[in-house]
Amino acid sequence: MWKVLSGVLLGWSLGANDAANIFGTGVATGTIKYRTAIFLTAIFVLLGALLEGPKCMETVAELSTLLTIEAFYCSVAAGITMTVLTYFAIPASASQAIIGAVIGAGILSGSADFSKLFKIIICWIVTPVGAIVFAYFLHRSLRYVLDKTIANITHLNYLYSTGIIVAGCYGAYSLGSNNVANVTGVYVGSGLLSAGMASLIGGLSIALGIITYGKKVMLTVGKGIAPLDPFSAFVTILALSFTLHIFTQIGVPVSSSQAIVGAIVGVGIVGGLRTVSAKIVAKIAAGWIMTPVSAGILTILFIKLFV
Amino acid sequence: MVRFPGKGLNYGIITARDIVFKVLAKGLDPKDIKVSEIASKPAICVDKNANINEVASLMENKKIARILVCDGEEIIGVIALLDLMAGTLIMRARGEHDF
Amino acid sequence: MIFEKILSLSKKEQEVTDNMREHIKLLCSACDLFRTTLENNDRNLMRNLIDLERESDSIRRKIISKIYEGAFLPYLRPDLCRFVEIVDHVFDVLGDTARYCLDGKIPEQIKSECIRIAYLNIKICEMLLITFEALLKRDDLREKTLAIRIYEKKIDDIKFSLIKDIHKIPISNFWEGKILSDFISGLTTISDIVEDASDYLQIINVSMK
Repeated sequence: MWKVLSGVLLGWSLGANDAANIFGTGVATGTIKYRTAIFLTAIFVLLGALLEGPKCMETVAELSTLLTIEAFYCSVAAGITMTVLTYFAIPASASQAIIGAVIGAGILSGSADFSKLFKIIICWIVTPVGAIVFAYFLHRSLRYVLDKTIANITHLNYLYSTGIIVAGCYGAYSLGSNNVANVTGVYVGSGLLSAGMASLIGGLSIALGIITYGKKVMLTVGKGIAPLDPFSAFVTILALSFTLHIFTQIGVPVSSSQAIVGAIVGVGIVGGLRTVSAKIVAKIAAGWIMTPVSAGILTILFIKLFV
Repeated sequence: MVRFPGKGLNYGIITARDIVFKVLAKGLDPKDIKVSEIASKPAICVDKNANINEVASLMENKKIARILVCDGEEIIGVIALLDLMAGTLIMRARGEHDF
Repeated sequence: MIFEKILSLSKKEQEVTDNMREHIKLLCSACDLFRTTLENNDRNLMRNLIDLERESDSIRRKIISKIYEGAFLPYLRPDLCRFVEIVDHVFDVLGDTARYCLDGKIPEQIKSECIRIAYLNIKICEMLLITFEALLKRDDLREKTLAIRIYEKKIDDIKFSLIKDIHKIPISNFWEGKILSDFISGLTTISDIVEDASDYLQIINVSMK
């Protein structure tokens, strides 16, 4: 059972890092106190993990048949990959890392299912693109509706403040439902845990990460990616939540960091800004390739050496 | 303002346009021209209580940018096209507000 | 805390905007009072102006403390407070100008021009109120701010001719001259400050989009 620990650690770091994507702007703009944000994020992530987490677990589990000890090393490899790439400021996705690791183990044991991998890769590419599209259309249509219906500055203010909080809760929920599979899905694959149990343990580990370390990242990252006005912040978080939630229904765990970057770009395009710099695109593309590949290689190494 | 000799108030008005179009553009030497020769007569006057629309149509009809404002027979001021514009803009901005 | 917010809906914000409206209306009254006392040379009414200045101070403090108690989104608060402070500054200048009036006598030669400026000051403050109401209703502010700029230019033009006329006035000592100069300075600065205030309304308007 100790083998679950690596997954718990992965979950902890996911919570600490990704929670900022959701309430970061809210806290940076002062709309919500960080303590409230952390509390809400943790609760809704757990809720999402418990209620819809299993949907993505299948995908992770089906990629290759794993022994529990292999599952252990998958999580370790994924965790190390995440840490190293983050250190080099390359956006690293937990989803891509764990998938890469599982495929790596699968290659070694000869049970890797590459057809499923193909579907997953398509989803990774669609994630930021979809977020851009969502954010753009959400911004335009909501702006139109709000201009027509709300004729009072105080009502608008109220709407923005509650909107950001509600969207944030939804975002945390979608994050939990989509990403918990990254954390403990491997153990479902190896048969150590049931999907429900995995969701519980994974959800709790993410929540723990949020509560213990989320503040630091939220305060710094939130300021960095903050759009300038509350309406854009609201749209960004909503687009992120929709994107994650839809991929949960499809059953594929995707990257929340890439989704939020896409959402912010989508909102930026509304203003006519071409905020997509070639540098950002290159970095994201690099992440897409390096993350699963390094995780896969590391896993293969670990299994070869220690199993 | 050009004051013509004679009884009562007999005024004409001379503007930059008169000087340019009637003298300079024709190559005439301004030193040789008397003001009375090129002034427009009679000077167009409008009552001080006239409303903006009246003044505007008058300006449009006579193709002038400035009109004298009179209180009876006495000339009390002059109103320009830009004054009309400023006044109209202020009216629009005030909208339905009644103070 | 969240339920309290839902139940009271936008009560705090409503209070703040009501107070701000009251503040600007008070300014219009103060300008009107100033013009009347200038026309009638009534020194007692001038003293009333100083009372209004004090009242404006207390309204300003009320508004700012309400804002920081939690009205409006945090990113709006500094601009709102800055606006209130600018409006309060007009009261201060108005009060100072009234004091110069009490101190010295306004020469007859320039009196009518000063009264004209005082009248335009009323108009520009009324326009500020109209702009503020438009902001609350999320209307386009551009026509209103343009009107304010028109008033400001008119006052500027009179100021220009005033300064020329003032040279012809005989001054017996330095302080008499200084008081007169400060009076004119204050009188003409009011519209500049109101124009500043209207710029802040536009800033707030754009922030809410």
